[in-house]
Amino acid sequence: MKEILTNTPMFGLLLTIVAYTIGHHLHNRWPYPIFTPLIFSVITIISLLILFDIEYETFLLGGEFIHTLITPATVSLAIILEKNFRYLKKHYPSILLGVGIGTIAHTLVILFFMILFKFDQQVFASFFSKSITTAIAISVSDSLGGIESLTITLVIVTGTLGSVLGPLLFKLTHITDPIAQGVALGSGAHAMGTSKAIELGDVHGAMSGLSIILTGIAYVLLAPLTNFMYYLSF
Amino acid sequence: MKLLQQFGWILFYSVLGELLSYLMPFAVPGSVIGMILLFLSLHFGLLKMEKVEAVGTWLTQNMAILFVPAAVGLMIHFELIASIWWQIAIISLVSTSAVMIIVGKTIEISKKRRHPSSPKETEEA
Repeated sequence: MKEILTNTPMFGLLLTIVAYTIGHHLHNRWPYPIFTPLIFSVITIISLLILFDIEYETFLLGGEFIHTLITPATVSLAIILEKNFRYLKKHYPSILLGVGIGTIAHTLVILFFMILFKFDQQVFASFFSKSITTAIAISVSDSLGGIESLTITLVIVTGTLGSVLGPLLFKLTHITDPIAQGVALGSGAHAMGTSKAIELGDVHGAMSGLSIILTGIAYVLLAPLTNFMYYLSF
Repeated sequence: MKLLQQFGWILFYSVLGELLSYLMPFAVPGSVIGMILLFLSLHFGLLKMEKVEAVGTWLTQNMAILFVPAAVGLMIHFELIASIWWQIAIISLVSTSAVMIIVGKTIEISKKRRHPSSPKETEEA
């Protein structure tokens, strides 16, 4: 009975859409972070899979269809970018400066914690790559000898945290500029931050999508230096 | 049929990106190359906005749900995460918050210096 239900791709597809929709309605009613559609649906789905003893691979039969759309959705960010190109043209020095300083600051914070917790270089490589969008993160982390599953985990944790915390942090620190908010979300929390930025507005979304690329490039450029920095710190 | 064609164009750029990514000597994800190519095509008028707009907007507006399956994959890495969970929590919280505040503040300050008189950009509806 269970197998008939779960062994079709429809199972994972339906489960994802239903859980996400419920989260969406709950979040509209009670806007707590726990009801953020992404967090709510992930917790609900993991709980259900464990409760009914269903393998992740079985869920992925359908989940894969949704996962596959990440690439075309990322490509489609070009549309938002083109529509808001004038902001980029006007403010590119500020944006590049922000992304550059952010990338260096992130690396220094990670180095500090690696020294504090005495983590080895493999773990460092995984943490170093965690603000980049998954596809770039894996290749950067691999090139530094990171642990792939840890990298993916950290990328998702970072993206979730960033997209939830972003609006709160902006309020606390009085960051009101849509370009600053968008770039901060994309640079700190990659495509998951961008999905939040798109909810905040079109300019946010465009700048956030753009900063995924810029941040990715910044980390790719910084990567060869980091092993050196790591050894210097120990 | 129109929506199907739009989806086709977006997939075309996605595949083109993947293909070029494979041919590149260094690692750049196909989705990023595809995005840059689509942007250049739209910007220089090789492809009209109407050819991709509806489907592309639908995809980007519903982006968060696309990460659900990958995030559910955390369940198979429980052991690794459980062994260093509190360090992960602290590091992620501090580093992510720090980056977002630093990036946001840097841009705001730099923008004000470069355009001191211009009023703050307000979003267009």
